[in-house]
Amino acid sequence: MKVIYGLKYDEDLVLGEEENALVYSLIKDGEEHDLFTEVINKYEKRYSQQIKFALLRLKRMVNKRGIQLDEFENESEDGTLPIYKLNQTGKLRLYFIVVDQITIICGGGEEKLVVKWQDDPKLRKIVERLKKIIIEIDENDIKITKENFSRIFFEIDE
Amino acid sequence: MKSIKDILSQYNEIDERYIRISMDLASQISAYLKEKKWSQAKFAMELKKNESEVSKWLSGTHNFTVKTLALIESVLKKDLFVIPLDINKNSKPKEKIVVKFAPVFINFNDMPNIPLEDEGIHLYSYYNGEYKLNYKSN
Repeated sequence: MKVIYGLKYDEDLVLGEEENALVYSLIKDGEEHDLFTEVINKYEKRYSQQIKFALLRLKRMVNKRGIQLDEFENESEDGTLPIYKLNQTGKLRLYFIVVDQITIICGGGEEKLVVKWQDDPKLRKIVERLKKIIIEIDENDIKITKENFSRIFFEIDE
Repeated sequence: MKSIKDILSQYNEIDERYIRISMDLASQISAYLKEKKWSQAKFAMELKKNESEVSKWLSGTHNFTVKTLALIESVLKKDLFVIPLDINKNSKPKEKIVVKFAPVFINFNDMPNIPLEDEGIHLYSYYNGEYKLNYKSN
């Protein structure tokens, strides 16, 4: 089934005028909430500490440090695709595409209750989705900016 | 559904400071490792620690003990903290040094004879009718 995803710019993480990183989130066409907001709300109670630190770390990257790959772990099968999970989030997986040194896209997340993420259909679905989006960005040479993000759509099979 | 802003507003200043300090520490340690061209494995070996434990330290959320920081500093031979000790000192206010200038009238006729071979700058002081050579350039 073809599903269309757009991008939502996460201005909630921005403190002042200075932005050293831009965080976007995927939003399914026709949905009210983006995937980042959804996963944070879904697991806010169960993983309260992990979510607190995850949000504060992202906020610090946006406002001070820029994207720091030390804060992420590559989660693509062979380590070649820029699919990352934020580290130190326990069993909660928060997935991102690292587009460039200042831009990341949150592609959602889920809790990981199996040893390998490949064994969990929900996690596999997220990683597969991100893979397809990376291919679209790459093949169509899509440049994501604050001016054009609202006009960018990815049509992918899910 | 709550917005990210609403969720962030639940956290207090201590949480923010904790994240700032632990992220900055991890990032500073990583920068020192890059400078030394040390891998995480080499760093773990120098610390005599497990690599997975060191990896956790560098994750940006580790709650370091002062002892661990001292160990890291001693292995890296670098400071991780600069503590402003001055704030604790009962330092007295510095004394003011006042420099006063008085006019001096020089009678050039009374100047000592300078031998011709002594070229350069000669600085004399004059006190109670006597000139004293204080400085002579080479």
